[in-house]
Amino acid sequence: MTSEPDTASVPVATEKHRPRWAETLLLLVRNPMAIASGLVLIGLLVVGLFGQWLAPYGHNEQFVGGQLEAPSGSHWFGTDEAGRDVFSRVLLGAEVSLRVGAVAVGISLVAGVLIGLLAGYYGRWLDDALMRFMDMLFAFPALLMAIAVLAILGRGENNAMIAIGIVYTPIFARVTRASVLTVREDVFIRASRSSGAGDARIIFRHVLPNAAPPIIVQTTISLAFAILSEAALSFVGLGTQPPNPSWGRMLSEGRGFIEHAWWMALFPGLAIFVTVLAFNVLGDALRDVLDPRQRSTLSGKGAR
Amino acid sequence: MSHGASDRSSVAGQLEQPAGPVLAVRDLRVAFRTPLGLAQVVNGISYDVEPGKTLAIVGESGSGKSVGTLALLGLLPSGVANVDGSAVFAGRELIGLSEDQLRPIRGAGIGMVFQDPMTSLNPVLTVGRQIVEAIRAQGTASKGAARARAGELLAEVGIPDPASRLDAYPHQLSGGMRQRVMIAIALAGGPKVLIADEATTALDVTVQAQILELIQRLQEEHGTGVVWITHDLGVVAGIADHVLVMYAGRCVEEGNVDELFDRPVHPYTRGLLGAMPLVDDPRPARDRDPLATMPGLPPDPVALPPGCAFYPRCPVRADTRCADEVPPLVSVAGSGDAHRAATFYAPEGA
Amino acid sequence: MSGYVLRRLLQSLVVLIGVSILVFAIIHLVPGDPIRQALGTRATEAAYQALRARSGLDDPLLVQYFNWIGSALTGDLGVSFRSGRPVTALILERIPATLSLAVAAIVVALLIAVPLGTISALKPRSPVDWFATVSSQAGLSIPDFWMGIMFILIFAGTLGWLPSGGYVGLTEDPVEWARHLVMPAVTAGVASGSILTRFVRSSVLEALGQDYVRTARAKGMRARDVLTWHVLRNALVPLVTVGGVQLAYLLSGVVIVEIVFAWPGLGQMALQAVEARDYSLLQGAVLLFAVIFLLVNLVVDLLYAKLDPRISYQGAAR
Repeated sequence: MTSEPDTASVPVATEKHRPRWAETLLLLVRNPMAIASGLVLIGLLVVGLFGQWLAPYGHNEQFVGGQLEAPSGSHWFGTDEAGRDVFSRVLLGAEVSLRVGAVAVGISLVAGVLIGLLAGYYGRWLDDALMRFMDMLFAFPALLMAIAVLAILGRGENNAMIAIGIVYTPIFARVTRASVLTVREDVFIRASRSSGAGDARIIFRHVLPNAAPPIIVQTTISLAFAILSEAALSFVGLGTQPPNPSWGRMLSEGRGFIEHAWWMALFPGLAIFVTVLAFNVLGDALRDVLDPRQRSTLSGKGAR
Repeated sequence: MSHGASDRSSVAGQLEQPAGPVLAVRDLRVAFRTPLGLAQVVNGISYDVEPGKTLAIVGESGSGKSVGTLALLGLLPSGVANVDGSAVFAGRELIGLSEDQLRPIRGAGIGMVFQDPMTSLNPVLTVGRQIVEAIRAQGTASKGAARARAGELLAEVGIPDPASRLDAYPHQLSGGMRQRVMIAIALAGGPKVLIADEATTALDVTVQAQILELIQRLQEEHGTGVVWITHDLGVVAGIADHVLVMYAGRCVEEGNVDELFDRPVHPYTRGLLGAMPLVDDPRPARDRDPLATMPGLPPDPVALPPGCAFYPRCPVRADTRCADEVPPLVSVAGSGDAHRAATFYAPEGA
Repeated sequence: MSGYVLRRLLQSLVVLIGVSILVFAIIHLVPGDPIRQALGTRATEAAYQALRARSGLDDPLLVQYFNWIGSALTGDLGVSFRSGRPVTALILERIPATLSLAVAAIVVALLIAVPLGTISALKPRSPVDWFATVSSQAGLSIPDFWMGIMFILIFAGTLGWLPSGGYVGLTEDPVEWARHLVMPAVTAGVASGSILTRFVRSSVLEALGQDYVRTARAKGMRARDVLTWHVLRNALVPLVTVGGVQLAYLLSGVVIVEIVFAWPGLGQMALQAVEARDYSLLQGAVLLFAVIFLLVNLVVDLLYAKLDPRISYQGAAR
């Protein structure tokens, strides 16, 4: 249909310039899915920041004689094998998930964008060398690579952040490089180069802002997968260590009691699911608004 | 041409009546539902296609000339297009028919050749297979018979060594060869009407001439009625019997080809003819824009101007009614009914 | 054709060499003495010295690398620090379980993705399309380890229909093999199925808008034939690539699902190697995964060239 001269101009083929921030927000607010996921994430942030005060009990507060109690009025999500309140632990686990996810993605974002900018902007051998290195990192499945990194660094929350950060760096490098390549030759950049602006100025004033939309989309989606990865690493015992409440850890503990106390596994898993889903939905909505051409190609490969 | 397809017997029976047009379109209207509103792309087009004759529909991109013909066969994207009016093919009303009712008419009744043979042929299937599909779509021909017939068709459209070309993929053929394959596909069902939608636009001039010649020869041999859709008036002069000029979904002028070329009335047609390239212009058709000298763009189909659609670009604006009254399509004085135009303007020499 | 194959092979080789260096580095990046760590404190000095000598860790790095890569090429990945058995043998034991799981999971993924993606592309904005969008979003977000546990709770615990875990060889008892395979395969297949659903939807949508589909309809072909030969045939060519990538992930990335279902595959082995600080085993496993991954990608690209006749002639354009 597109090469058809008559119809090409009929549907909304009018040229779309990149929306500004206000317009972006406006478009986003019109999408009910985006609003719903945004509200969930705001709620999560509140729980993450103020969980200590919101939780009815402490994360290690034990009720002697109250082990493995089914959900009730006093323990909404029941209690675990040590008599701890599952609801409180789920609330407190939000902080761990969000913090690990955010720091890990922060690491990938900074490293990946820097590599992508260098590769895309300077090109030639630097591009080849950096991107082949990214290809090598990409040749390992995400979780396996994180496990291998943790095998070297040792288990624990901080190392989990680093491991996840390394794993998701190549995708940021690719996304950034791709957008840099599309804007590099733009007229205005040539103009500012001829007027004597330095490379750094060009990169940060002109190249980076134009590459921002896909990077923002990738950040949101990566947060989803980073949180999922943290939960998975904690589930296999390599991430957050006890007694800190981590959803993945709680799930692996609950697994042992699945026949007797289904609530121990159900609620932490539900918490992970809702969080990851909210980031994914928001990421998709953002992509529709910011970067409509890139649908579902990159997230597919970056996942798991 | 093969008349083997049994499904067509009822259609063919009615075709035996000698006189009259094989396709009669009356007040055809097409509108697309878009997020911005209803886009009125075709706004009341009428024409007849006579057996063995060529009707040329001329207009620039967005004039509705392709959409109007795609609508006849139900080939517009379903769910977004509203089609109104009437189109009688071989005694049968096409508008409002279901997909199943239209299917026997596609290919066997009306064949289509599209603009870009690279994208209009499936890149991952051999050309032989694509012609065989067209042969077998309607009839009951066996695979072997269909393949033999496909070879004959390739020979008929002037492809050398047709038997071996059957196994070629589209990308292995030249542009001209691909368009010949498209024509073979369109002819496979033995259509009474052939619609060629910008069929030579993507080709260079010498190949263009060969394809025009081929279609004319096939038309003479089979008595096919041809609808030739183009933005290139240079092509029209050579092959058309009757010309219809479209602008913003309306017919602004139509007539016998000599009459229209000799005495154009509508400012738009006059502009087109004035901007016609020299006959020996070496550039391929796609590189020339006949409207390059006419400033402005066609109106937005979502918000057509209240008066003459050409008013915003019109260099003449002859009458006060131009801005808010749509000029009716009426006979040009002294032409009988052979030449009609939709304009309030009456040029001196016309 | 041969030019494209050669270029593609060369490219894979370069990445493979890089990957092998990365994997080789694992053992040398581990803080402290990997053998001391692997053996623990209770090992005798004699046992330590014996293993140390066999591992060749005292040679210069370059010599070690070439020794390691040389024997790897002949199928010798060294000796497990923990069990003292050849790494290659340990890996081979695990392959049937992992292969069963990965293949079953990709079948599940395709059974979900192809019908759901196609129908939702044919009826955009319909309830089916909405369902496909929501469920693929959910499938991508659901933690597989949680889904697996919930499956065990429902189908093994409450309903008692399926075994809660473990593996039975196909040759031992095909029925039990299948019964044990169902839950892990579905659990591992859902995420890939979700990714593929989106992919099928967008590529069918794209194919539907192509000029050749309009040509096929204009020929008077039946809607079903147009869909099969012009829409799906073309839309599914790129599916080979994405499906291949997913298969590669499943072959090496189903660590978690293997843990949940006590599935004795390569992922479980890799994790056990980490826990036991059995770095030589980990090294072998990771190298194998990377090789599988690169190999599947290579095969997929070559297959793609077969399915799309244009590729072989314009390989450079890719």
